[in-house]
Amino acid sequence: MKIYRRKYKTLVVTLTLLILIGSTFSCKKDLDNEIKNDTYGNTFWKSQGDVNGAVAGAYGLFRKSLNQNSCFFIWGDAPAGLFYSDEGTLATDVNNGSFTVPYWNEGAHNWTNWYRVIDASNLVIENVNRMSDDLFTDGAKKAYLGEAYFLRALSYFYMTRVWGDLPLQLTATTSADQAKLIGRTEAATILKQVISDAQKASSLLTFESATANQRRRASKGAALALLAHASAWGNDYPKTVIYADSIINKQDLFRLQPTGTIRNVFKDATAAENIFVITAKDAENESSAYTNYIFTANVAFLTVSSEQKPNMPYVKGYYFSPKARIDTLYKDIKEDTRRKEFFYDSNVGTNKEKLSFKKYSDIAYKNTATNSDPRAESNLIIFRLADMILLKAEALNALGKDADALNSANLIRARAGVSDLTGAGFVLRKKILQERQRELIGEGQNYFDLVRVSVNTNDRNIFSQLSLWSMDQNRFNQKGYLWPIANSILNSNRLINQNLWWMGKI
Amino acid sequence: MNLKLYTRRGGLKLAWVMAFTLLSVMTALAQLKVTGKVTDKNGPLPGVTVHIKGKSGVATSTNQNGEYQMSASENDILMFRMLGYDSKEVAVKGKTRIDIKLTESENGLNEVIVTGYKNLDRKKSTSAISSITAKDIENLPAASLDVLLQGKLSGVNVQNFSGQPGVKTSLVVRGNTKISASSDGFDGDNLYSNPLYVIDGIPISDDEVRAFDQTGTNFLASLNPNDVESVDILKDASSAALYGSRAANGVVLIKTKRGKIGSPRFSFNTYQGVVAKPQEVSTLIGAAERRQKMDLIYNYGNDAQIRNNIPLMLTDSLNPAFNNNNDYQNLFYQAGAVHNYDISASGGTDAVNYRIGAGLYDEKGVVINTGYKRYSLNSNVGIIFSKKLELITSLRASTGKRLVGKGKGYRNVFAVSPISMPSSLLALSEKDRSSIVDPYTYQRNDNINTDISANGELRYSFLDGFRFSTRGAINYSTGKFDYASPATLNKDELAYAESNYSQYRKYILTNNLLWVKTIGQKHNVNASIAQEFESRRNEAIYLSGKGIPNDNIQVVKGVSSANLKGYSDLSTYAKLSYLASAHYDYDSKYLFDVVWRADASSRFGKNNKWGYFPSVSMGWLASEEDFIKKLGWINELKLRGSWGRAGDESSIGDVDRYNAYISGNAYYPGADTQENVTPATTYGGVTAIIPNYNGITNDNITWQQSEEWNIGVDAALFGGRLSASIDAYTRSTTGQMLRIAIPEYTGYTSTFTNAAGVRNSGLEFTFNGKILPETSAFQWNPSLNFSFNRNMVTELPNGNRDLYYGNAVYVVGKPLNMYFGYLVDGVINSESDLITNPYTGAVGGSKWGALRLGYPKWRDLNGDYFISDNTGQQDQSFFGDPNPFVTGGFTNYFSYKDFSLQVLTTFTFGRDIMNNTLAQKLQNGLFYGNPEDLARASITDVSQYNYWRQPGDHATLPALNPFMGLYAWRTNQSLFMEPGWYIRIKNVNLGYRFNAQKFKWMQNAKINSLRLYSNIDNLHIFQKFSGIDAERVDGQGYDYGDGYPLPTKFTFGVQVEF
Repeated sequence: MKIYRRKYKTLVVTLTLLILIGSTFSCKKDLDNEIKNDTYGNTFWKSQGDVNGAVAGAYGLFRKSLNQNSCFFIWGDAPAGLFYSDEGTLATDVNNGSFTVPYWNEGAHNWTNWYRVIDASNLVIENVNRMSDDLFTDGAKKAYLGEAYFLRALSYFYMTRVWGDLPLQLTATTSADQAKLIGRTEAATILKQVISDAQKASSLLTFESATANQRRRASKGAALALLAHASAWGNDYPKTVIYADSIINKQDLFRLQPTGTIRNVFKDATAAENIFVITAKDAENESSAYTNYIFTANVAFLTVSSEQKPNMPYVKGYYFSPKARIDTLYKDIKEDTRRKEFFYDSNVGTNKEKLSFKKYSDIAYKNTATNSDPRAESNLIIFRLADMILLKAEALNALGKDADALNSANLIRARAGVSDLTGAGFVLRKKILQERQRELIGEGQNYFDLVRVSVNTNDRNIFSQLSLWSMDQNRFNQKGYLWPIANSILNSNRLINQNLWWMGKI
Repeated sequence: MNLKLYTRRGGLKLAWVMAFTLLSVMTALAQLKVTGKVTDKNGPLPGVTVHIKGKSGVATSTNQNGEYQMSASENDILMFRMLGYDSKEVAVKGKTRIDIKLTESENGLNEVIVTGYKNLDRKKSTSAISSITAKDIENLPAASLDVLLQGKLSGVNVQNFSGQPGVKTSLVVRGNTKISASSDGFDGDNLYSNPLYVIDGIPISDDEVRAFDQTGTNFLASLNPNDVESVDILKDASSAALYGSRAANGVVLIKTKRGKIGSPRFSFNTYQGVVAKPQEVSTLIGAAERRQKMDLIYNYGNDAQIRNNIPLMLTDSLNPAFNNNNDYQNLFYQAGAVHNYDISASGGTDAVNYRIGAGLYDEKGVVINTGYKRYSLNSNVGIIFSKKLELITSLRASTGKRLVGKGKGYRNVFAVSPISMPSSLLALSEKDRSSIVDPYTYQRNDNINTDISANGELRYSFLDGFRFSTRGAINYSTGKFDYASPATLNKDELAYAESNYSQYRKYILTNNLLWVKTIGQKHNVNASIAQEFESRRNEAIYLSGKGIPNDNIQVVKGVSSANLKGYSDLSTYAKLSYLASAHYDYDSKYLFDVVWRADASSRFGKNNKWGYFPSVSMGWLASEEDFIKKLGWINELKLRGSWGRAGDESSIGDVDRYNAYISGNAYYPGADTQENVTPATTYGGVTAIIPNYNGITNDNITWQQSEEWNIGVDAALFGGRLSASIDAYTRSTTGQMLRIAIPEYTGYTSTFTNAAGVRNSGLEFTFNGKILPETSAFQWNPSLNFSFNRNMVTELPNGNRDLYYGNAVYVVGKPLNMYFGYLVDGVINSESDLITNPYTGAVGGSKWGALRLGYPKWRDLNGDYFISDNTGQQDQSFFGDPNPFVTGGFTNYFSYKDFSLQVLTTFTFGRDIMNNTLAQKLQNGLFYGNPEDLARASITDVSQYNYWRQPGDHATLPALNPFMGLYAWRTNQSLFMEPGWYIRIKNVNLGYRFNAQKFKWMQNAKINSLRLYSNIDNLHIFQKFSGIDAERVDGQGYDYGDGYPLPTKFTFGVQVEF
């Protein structure tokens, strides 16, 4: 028994020592608690794959920004007056110039999503610059940087068109300490930043990447298109012509779709007319579902009717276009192929007067047997060649070169199978804008066209002439064409003021 | 090597040999042979352990006739011990016959409280501790222990907001401190601060289990309540500080039963019961429904409305589509059943003690396809190798399966919710009926938890009064949630299944050095230092798929890769702690305690890894003073006071301190996390990686802390006929972690910060009485406890701005979770009740039209003669208080000879609750002022309410006008606030114990004890609340008719011991 006891004692002492030593060693490491189910700043940015993922992430955030409450459509199309709704006053108050859009405001008044794209781009810019060139295949490093500059520029461009002055954030935020209160920077400075970033992107990117990236990631073409738009927004039309031409002349890469196949740009990202689109392919598991709530639904569920595509939520589209208005817009001695290509004519009674929209009608069904669970998968077009050609026409008109402007615009007319435009000066300006409506309706451009041209020409009447509402002088002076900023933003930062015209109105 | 040899030979056998050897050695030295008989008030007492004090080797136990025989020397002291009886010591002093009468112990409480670090001497403790023993909780029909603690302990507030078998209730020690970290995390079912549970020395808290758990089953349900020997609640910081970083909300110590020295005992126990079908939410059915709806339409409608606007559904009573009387609730409610079986074997010698118990608990719920079934095993073995070396082990294993009805979560058990039921008049074809009820047969909805926990502690005593111990504990739990629903039940007509698995693993190593010493007879010291390391690992796998080819396949199988989604997850946690504690008392009169603990947690960044938690406490055992002793009637009197600090880290996740990037997040509206949608993980086919923009890391985040003061007095008077305990406390919790907004242009919306504070202060009373003298055959022992608590928000972020989370409001200086909404002062019964602008004479308006008779009398808070929630016209405000002011329980124990009766009544006073069921039901038919809505929705029996019908009425509820459309029936109004007090006859227990001395057959069958008992659980509730059950409200005091009822259970049981 004694022997046993002695053994115990040795055993206990040894065991204890072992445990003490063992636990002290393992503690130190375990207390650091390395995160294993996600990555983070210190462990990321080690390979080209990491960067590719982060850039894809930024595109994903950009897609989210556009789709939140379908804000690109609520901003760019609803106020232009070509879409109506029967579903209560809440749905229509946007096309009469009242931008309070209750229920759509999360996307339309809030800039958080957009600043996420900017933060993700800032992260790429800061970290990729720091990474060794050896980690990348030839040219890849420049390309990723170019994409990040492009996305940052594009996001600021969207935001400044919507809200004007903005806080300018050009560095990534990585801890709470860095979140300092800053105020808004003037819109002109923001636009300069957009142009400078887009120029950097243009110099870093190549035209060829358009093909390699299937036109759904930035290429030199996308950067130049952005420059064309940004310079037009800044009333620098001579530059617009130069930038637009650099794309238009790149005919090996960018060509107009043949007549009657324009809709192809929504279905196929690689269509020759596309410069830069955002995709949502069902085959890649990126399509979006309708989940019983229209305000967060994809634009397809808002505009494509169940007559066009079975199991869509609305018989004539939550937003539809009045037949009379569309027929007037597309009136020509010849038949405009776009009228049939973009709009669906119902055969059913009262719906005959309400045209549903076809641009977003690429629908995949999860259950192909019953056509249930529809998924929207149309591309969102950011830039396509027709847009560039018409923008060039607008610029030439503004520069007094009406003959060249007509040549340009009539390329689009010819493609639609309609007779050439005529006219000059102010009349032509309006006609080109109308041509942009006919061509680009529903692509998030039309309202910004109105703002751009009215501001550049200091002519508020363009609103009453081309939309359903008029812009009074006071509202125009107070930049009432801008959208209001969410109250939550104002509440949390005393340095930020509401846009002048909206003060006290929301 | 040696150890292995030893065990291979069979430790038990060896121990026996050792015991006999020792015994024979001792016998040789002894001079006297002592015999005797041990009795209690009922006669001879078998199984009593008799041993010699200070000589652990010598022991025996009494036989069937209570007789014993043992050898002892002249100076020995004999000790007589038996579970449930007070121990007695008798000096031999040459006597050869010693007869003893043992008395049943008053409360059965152990003299020591086992904390896992050191044992506290209950008499010398300077802390506020509430305790109960097995007697109070055994054989009550509930799956988990927390439910059973209601009304039994002062300072412990248990509210059962759900009667669903196996789900967690709320158990709050000394007032709620929880504020959800963010408004999106606000969950009415999870609004309580949880104490730390310590089961046999192993700490486990709600937050560590909940993080990954798949099933939502209460982790305490893994423990069979019948295996529990005692529960001690450490309420103040002085003892809770032993647990440092997690003890801010109190500590619940649970100790399971262990073997005692004595011959082997086998016991078998079972109870069987029925669960009554619950009370239905008041609903009119068939003709009664039609009559009431028509009455409302005719009463309120004008001529045109009555001519044009009566729904066909109500007028066409002959139409078979509209003349039914469906009682939907009846489809789902059923009578349940409860079965429980326990067997155990226990015993011990001076070398080994053991208790091994196994149990089966099976409850069929009162809602179809709900229930809980658990198999459990508990094995506690102690081995005493020598006087110096001891090994204590325990092992628990259990597996439980919970059926949860229709959905996930605590609610959603019904396919047709009792608060949004359609009209009973609508036809319910056999097909419809089966589509509502049959899913319960076709769907798979299993929640299975398996828990294993084991620990072993090796104690080595050395020198004079030193003991070193090292303890290892392992916890291993898995949770599995499997769900499958056939194609016909899903909107997209594709069969769907998911399978989720989580695994939780933890180990704790504790090294402890203890020193117990009495110096110079009067200076008693008990000190310890300890080091502890804890490591946890949570892992999970989530898998789901749609488009399963055949409904018979109830797993994720045969799914195309595009429709398959799944991922796995992992997080770890580690904590290193150092602990020092010391107790000193002078002559067992003046008591001093100090505890200091330091914890380093992996949840915090390096700036704030370490937290320090000190406490000091003092006590004066006045009853040890001679001048008190002289009084005679004071048996025990102790005054105590304490101060201490404890922490809480439950509101920060394991990896929240990292600014994590999320892989595979390219979510956007329509392609994000929602049912049946696979979220987009890529952009253009490339996996997207983005920072987690929900919150940015804050390097300065630290512990939430609570600082608590406590003073108390314990007394036992009149020979133990009355005992009382009174405590007063105030606990300030600071540094509550909240998400606060940061500027949007960073891309982030919020950051975590220590920003809020809550203070709880209160008074607690416990009284135990013994009305009749011990000699009386009839006994009546009442015990009453009640606790007052006031809680108050003391600090909020953004310069103490009010915080709004859904319908809950936090305001500095006010209690937690106040309601937010319109204040209603009854009804506009007469013209004088109308708001009128004195300057214009115009009658005030509302967002829903001009005010008129029969409308709720909304209070115009901003004085603009307009009722609205628009910006600038806001008339909503905070009101009410859902936190109870008084909670407690009253137990009466009666016994007459072998009969016993125990009645437990619990009560809650001083809180407001919202009759959300009524609001929702009225809202369904009346919200938009469309009689068609009224026709389609079910209706509650409104005749019990005094509602406005016509001018001249003095109504308390507004008009139930189907044409009004004034949006009057929104839920967030003080209109629906009702008194939330209740008194519940929680439990009635009647027992009869067969006396082995009286029944020969029991002796023949070697049955030591046999007890029959019957129990009624939830017998009756007294309340003023007009709904079903004032207890069944969520954390914010909202009554939900679609929640799980608290049913009445009737059981009958038998307990046998051999």
